[in-house]
Amino acid sequence: MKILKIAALTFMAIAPLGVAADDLDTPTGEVILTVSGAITKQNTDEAAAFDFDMLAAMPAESFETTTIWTEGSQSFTGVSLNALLDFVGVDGKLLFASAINDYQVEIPITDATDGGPIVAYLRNGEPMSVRNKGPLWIVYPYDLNKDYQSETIYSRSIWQLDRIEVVQ
Amino acid sequence: MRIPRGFVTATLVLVVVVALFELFVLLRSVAQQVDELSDASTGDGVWALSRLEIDFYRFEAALEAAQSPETYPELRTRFDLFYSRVATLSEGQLNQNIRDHESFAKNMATLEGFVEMALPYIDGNDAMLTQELAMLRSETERIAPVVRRLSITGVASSSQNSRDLRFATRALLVKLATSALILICGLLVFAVVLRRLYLQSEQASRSSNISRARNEAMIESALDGILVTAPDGKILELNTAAEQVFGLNSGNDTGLHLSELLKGISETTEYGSPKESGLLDRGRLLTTGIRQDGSEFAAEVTLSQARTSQEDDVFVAYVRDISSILEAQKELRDARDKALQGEQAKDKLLAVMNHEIRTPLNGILGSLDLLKKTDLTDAQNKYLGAIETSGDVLMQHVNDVLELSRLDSDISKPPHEPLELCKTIGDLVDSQKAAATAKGNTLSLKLSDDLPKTVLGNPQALRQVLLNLLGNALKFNNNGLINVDVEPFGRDDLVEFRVIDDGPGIAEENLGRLFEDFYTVDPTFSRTAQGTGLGLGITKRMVAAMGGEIGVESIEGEGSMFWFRVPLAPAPKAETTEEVISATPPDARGAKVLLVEDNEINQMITGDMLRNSGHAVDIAPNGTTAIRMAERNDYDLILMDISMPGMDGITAAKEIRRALGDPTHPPIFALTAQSIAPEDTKLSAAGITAVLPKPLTSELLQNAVNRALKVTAYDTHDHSADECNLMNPAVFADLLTNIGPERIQHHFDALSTDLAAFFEHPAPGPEANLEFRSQAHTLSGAAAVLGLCSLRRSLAKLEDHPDAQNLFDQTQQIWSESRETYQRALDRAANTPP
Repeated sequence: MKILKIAALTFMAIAPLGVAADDLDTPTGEVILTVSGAITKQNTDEAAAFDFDMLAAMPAESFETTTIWTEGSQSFTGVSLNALLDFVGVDGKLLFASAINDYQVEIPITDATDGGPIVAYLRNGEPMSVRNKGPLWIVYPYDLNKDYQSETIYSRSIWQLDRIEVVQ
Repeated sequence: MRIPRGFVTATLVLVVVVALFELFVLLRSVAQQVDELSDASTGDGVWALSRLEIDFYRFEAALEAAQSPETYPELRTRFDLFYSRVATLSEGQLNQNIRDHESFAKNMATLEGFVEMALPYIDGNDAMLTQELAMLRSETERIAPVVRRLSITGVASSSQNSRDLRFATRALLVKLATSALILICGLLVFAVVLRRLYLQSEQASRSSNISRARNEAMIESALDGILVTAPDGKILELNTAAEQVFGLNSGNDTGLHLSELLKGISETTEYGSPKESGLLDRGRLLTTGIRQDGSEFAAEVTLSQARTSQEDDVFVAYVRDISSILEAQKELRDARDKALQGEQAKDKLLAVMNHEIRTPLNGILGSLDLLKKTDLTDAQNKYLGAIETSGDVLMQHVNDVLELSRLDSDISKPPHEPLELCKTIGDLVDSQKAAATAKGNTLSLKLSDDLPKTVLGNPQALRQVLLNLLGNALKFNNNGLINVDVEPFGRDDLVEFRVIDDGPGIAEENLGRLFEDFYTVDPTFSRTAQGTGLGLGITKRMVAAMGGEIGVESIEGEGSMFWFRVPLAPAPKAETTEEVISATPPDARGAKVLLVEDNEINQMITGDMLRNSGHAVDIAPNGTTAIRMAERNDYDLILMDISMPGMDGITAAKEIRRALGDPTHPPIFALTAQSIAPEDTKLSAAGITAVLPKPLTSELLQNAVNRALKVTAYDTHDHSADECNLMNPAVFADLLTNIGPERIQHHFDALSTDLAAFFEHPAPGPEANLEFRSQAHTLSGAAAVLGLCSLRRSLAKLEDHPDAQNLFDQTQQIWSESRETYQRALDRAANTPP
């Protein structure tokens, strides 16, 4: 676990060098997230596709919190939704976030703030399998902000995330 | 019970605040509840279970579709999702209430068992999966009803949940409604209370307006000017009276300063605050007011500071224009001064009458007295009688007026001295008998037995009052009955005197004015009696001076009753009545008299009167000569005129006493025409024995000489006689030497016999009979020879007052005592050899 943390930190350190400001790399591994719709940067025909490494290369954010679906305090690490959207250059108001099983929720873009939700790829320092609500999970810092302890926010906390569509 | 208004308001505010708070809390709860309802939190469990069913069928479908290894990734993904769903249901909190459902745990265990069973085949290689696909399909088919049941469990629990939620919501809404109701009620009560408070304040303001209107009316209608000023002296308000007093135009008075209207305490107008005026809180002060036209007036001012809660302290001045009052006071003062001047003029007139009328009148009457004793023809005698009568009347009038003024001035309180009441009254009534008989009236006296024998009083005044009343009765009655009744009246030593007649009476309308000065019932010329009309006025004053009262009752045609009551306290026993001046027969002995008199006419008249009575008279024209003559000669009596030019009589008397060194001999009798006699103490201090009022008559003079000789005799020659106790030892010793005890016994026995006979007959009463008197006289002489001094004196008195029963009894008593004493002395002498 420690090794992974160090690895993540290493990625964080080298990310600015590896990722050019206006470029969007082409994913080399399995694509785990596709952002489409009203965005300014694409690396496929109409979308921005990310593999695990690309997400891990972006500035990471992590916090500890409990959730209503798990037992005990959990540590989550991921990309801030705000940063991710900035990265792809969104120009919209609403996100349609979909899971592998085609479950879909609507997230207003205003939710994407600093200290707000992250697109988590590590839970307790380890990558998440599909069986464990992975590989990506939009998690809000429920314990840090009481406003996030509501049904609405719980419903927006979509796991097994694989697509985000930005709409005007 | 009265609850403080503040308390009520505070309580209401509290209720409303609490209700509002409660409402707020409830509204929040309701909002939360609504959120909860809209969020359908428990619906999540249902949703999760339905998702489980979907994921299960998708997995089942993928399993059905799995024919070749290229479809295996899809199958594995579907399994992973289903696995994830099962794991979520196993560990998540959200489904706790669903999990509590009875069959949930069993079904969940079955499901978990299936997943664990399938896991190795799914995770294994493709070959193994291909081999076990049939087994997985049959197991999946077997588990399908369990998944179905779990899904239904979710729906059932959801409906239970939503029912609970409904009830909770309902309870909350009921609570909300209750709170709202309470709040509304509180607000209603609040509104009612507010309305009441409003009405009360309205009422208070109305009554305050009324009271203010009343006050204003009061101030406006006040007759005194009222000024209200600010602390700096500026006039704030004034009433109509003030405007009139200061001659201000209505409404034109603002901006005036108090100092422009009222001068301060030292007539200054230089003051700012009313405090500096010196008028503040000093009560009513007299100062000067200034009218608008500059004229000034005398003002009575009261300035005070009123403390009001609302504004600064104001000053209130009450102003009254008292010019007219002062004017009236001045007029009164002038009138009083004039009246006093008139009074002084009257006094002057009285003084003139005193000296300038009485002195020549004295001369006239004295000369007439002398003229009577010369040889005159019948005609001359008749004219002389007429002159004498007129002179007497004139003198009486003058005396009346003087007496009146003397009583008014009340300088000399009537002296209190012991007097024998019954005797005094009896003598007086007797003296009027002749006058009564002359007009055919019958005069009788009735004395109560309860009257004290000797009383303290003013005999002169008492006699005068009784004489005036009796004189009136005699004057206005002809051939009638006149009674004099005397008896004690109630307690307090009052004695009532009544003079009752059966004459014409007095009309009722005249009764009230009877005691007024100069009042006569019949003012016409033909009136039946002469008089100044002062008699009853004087009488009333004299009674008042004695501390008594006087009154009259009368019925016209039936008679009148005049009464007076005066306090006459019984005299202490030790005091004995002084010898009253009485008309004793002239003493045979001629006296040697010094007359001190500056008026030549009086010298001649008085001198001749004394000489005619057989006395030797020396005349001294002034005090100095009198002293010298008194030193050289041994006079029996000095008659001293009080008012003389140069040395007055009192000083002269004092000097004579000093020169002779004898305080009592010779007796000095003062002569005075003054109605207001100098105080007795002053006279007696000067050594003056008695006072003789002018004008002098022969009779008065003779009495005086007799008295003087008696006093002299007691004082010089027979001093022991005065203090003699039953018998005189000197006389007795003389008798023993000259005639011996046997002869004395003989004479004594004879006297005893005579006295026994004398006492056998009771006292003769008012009709004094000559024989009784002569017997008394003879016995008195016999007693004197034997030296029975007490008996002699008593018999001599009896001779003078034969009608006095008490004197008669007293004499008898003295005799029985004297007899024993005398007999014992005789026996002792008989047994003692000479």
